[in-house]
Amino acid sequence: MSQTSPPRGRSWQAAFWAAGSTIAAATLLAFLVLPVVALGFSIRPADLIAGLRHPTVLPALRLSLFTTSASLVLVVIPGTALAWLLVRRPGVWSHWVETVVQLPVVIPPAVGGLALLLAFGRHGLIGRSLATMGIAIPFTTLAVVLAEVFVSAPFFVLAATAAFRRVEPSLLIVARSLGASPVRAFFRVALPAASPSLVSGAAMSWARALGEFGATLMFAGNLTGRTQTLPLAVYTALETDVRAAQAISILLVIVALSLLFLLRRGAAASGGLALDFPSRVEPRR
Amino acid sequence: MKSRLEIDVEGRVGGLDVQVRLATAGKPLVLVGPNAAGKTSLLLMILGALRPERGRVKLDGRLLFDAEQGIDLPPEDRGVGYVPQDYGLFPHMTVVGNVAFGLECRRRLARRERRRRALELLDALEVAHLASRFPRSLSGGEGQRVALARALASEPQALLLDEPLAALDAGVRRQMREFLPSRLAMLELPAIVVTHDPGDAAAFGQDIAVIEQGRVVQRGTLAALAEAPASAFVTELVSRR
Repeated sequence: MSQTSPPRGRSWQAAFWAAGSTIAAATLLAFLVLPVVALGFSIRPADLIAGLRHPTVLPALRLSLFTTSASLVLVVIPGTALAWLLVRRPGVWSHWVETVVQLPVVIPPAVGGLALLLAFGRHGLIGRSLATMGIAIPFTTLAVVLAEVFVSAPFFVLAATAAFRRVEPSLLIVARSLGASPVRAFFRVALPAASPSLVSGAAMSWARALGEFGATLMFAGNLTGRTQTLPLAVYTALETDVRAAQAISILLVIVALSLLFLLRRGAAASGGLALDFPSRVEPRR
Repeated sequence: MKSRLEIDVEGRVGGLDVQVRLATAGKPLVLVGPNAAGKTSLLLMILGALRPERGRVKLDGRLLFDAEQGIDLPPEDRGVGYVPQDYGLFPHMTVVGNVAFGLECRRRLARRERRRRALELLDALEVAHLASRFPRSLSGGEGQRVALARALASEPQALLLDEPLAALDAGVRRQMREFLPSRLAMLELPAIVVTHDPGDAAAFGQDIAVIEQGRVVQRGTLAALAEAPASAFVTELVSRR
């Protein structure tokens, strides 16, 4: 028996595994791409334009732009503060806080919507006292924004925490030794050094808010012009006008693809600036 | 007048008890020791980034820290310049921007004036031609000079350099072994230079303090250390030269 060449059975086995894994990978890839292709190919341009003229589209577009912008602001500002505290003031509690922050990712959105209802609804935990003050949140545009904040915040906070962890602690010590107050060190050094990752985290979070469906439906309902965002408009239009549903979907896919493209280009461009300076791996507490 | 830096601190850092008493004036003090001996921790205590449990730090008669009196100046009020081991250059600012940052915090200067002063400082360290470059494109020796220019921009009363020569390759290192000590001598500032290399230690002068497991075990010239080494580490240190 030869020592140098592998036995015949084994090379046949290797070829089998190579072919098998390629086919499996290609199948999954095709499965991911095919529906998106179908979305674009099964509609004529004239139908697409007619679909976009459907009366639900414009109010839903306007509402989606407004609510996702509002939720982005409500996520990014406190989210940056939370991430900074998690990185700079770690303690026994930070492990739990990080777990809590990740919760909305694993909770089904519909459950999240129900939970929001039980918290802010008329008979809810906080909603009851709000109701006595004449404030009712469910089934309003504010409810849409809150649902979007709930589901999208984790994406930003996790990205921001990772970004701040990559900022060398020595940079901040140097900044302080040069006379910078903690506030100046944060805004002039930590924030710009982390900004490329913060921007991509904000973009991912915004995309999640734009696609929000389940929690919004449960907590805010489906009222044209007030709580009917683009994904809900797709759902509603499907019952009456498939072309409109398809047109909105194509619009959402184009937005998503452009965002991905911009993020990848941004990461490549800033890679030289702030993403690849030497970083110390700090133990997670 | 030569200003004086006095350190007398105690504190627990990680698993290490740091207990150090040192004073220096007008010339560099070289701090040598094995890894995890507490050298960088001591620098951080002087900078105000790490709080000792007991003791005091005094610079030019000014108390920077005093546990008994409850004095603990924040780093920005201490006037201690710092060049960390990896130079700590701000990656999102140009070279001249890095140096201008050292000018903008302490004094209210017009933008144009800051830039002019920053260029002057860079020129004094022979790196003015790098002004518009970003730190990532600098070599080790260039980064070291820029970091030093930036530290000097804030007009510190003391200077701390952590392993200033460790990351340099042989040629640049030889050159910087002459350049850095001569600059420090011109400044007449109390300076602490951390190193683990006996050759670097010798280049920075005659005042060497050996720190092991958080304590100063011996202080003197390299020759004095060689004559009566106080520990196995010192024996090894002087034999490596």
